[in-house]
Amino acid sequence: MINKNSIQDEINRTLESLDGAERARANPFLFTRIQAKMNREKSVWSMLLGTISRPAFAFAIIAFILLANIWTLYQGNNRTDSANSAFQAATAADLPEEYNLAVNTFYDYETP
Amino acid sequence: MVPEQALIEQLKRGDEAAFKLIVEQWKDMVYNTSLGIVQNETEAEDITQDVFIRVFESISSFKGESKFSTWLYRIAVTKSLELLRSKKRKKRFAFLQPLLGNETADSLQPADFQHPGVALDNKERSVQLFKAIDKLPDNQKAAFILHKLEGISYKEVSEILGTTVPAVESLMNRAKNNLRKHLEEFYRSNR
Repeated sequence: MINKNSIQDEINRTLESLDGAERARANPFLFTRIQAKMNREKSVWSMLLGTISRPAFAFAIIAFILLANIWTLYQGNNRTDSANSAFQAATAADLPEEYNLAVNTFYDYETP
Repeated sequence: MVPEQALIEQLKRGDEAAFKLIVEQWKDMVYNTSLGIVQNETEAEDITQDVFIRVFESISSFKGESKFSTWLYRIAVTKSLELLRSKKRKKRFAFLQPLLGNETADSLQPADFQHPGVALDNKERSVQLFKAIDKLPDNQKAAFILHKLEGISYKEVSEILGTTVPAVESLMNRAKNNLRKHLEEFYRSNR
């Protein structure tokens, strides 16, 4: 019982331990640090925007897109040409066999 | 001393001197609130900086419907709780830290926090109290810190948390009951 009471007493005193606590003081140079942080954030964005808005950057991007398109077209044409010729060759040689186009009858075998 | 309303109007026009006065006038209030919630001096200073940057950037959205200090408290509480949530997420994935980088799980474990404003003879007890506060749910934690550490009335706490006075009373009762439970566990195991 005494133990329980002493625990409750301890808890009450702990809960009251913040009573009358003074306010913690912020860094005296807080404003300077805020300014530095704002400038840092501003400089990162302005650097990014500055790079993007340069004409050289825009021309480089356009050139890259054009080259990528040309390369894709060129690759596409090559692939269709080789695919077509391969297909034609294969058709000529293999089609009769593939689809059993030769006319075979058992009369052929029986004739001497 | 420049009146609050005049300072706000000057800040809306982008006046840097007004911004400096605002920071100087309210920095301790914001810092103390953040410190009570996050229980880490470096993080509380970072939050205080972010709160004032946010004030500078979005002062035009402050319509004056609530007190300026209420608006500041609201930003400080939101930012502090956001940081705690992100720390909790990091803690959940702490087992990946050694694989991904050099930060170890130990760096996420808080040390015993001593509030600099607590009287010397209460220091030891306040360490236990802050450990118990750290285990409270977010809204109970915010209400308890605002009322107990900043000495704000239930009415103003309700305005900051966007709720009613009876809801704050209920939050405070639940917070005290939970703190009692955590402290009882601690004192029983340390007898």
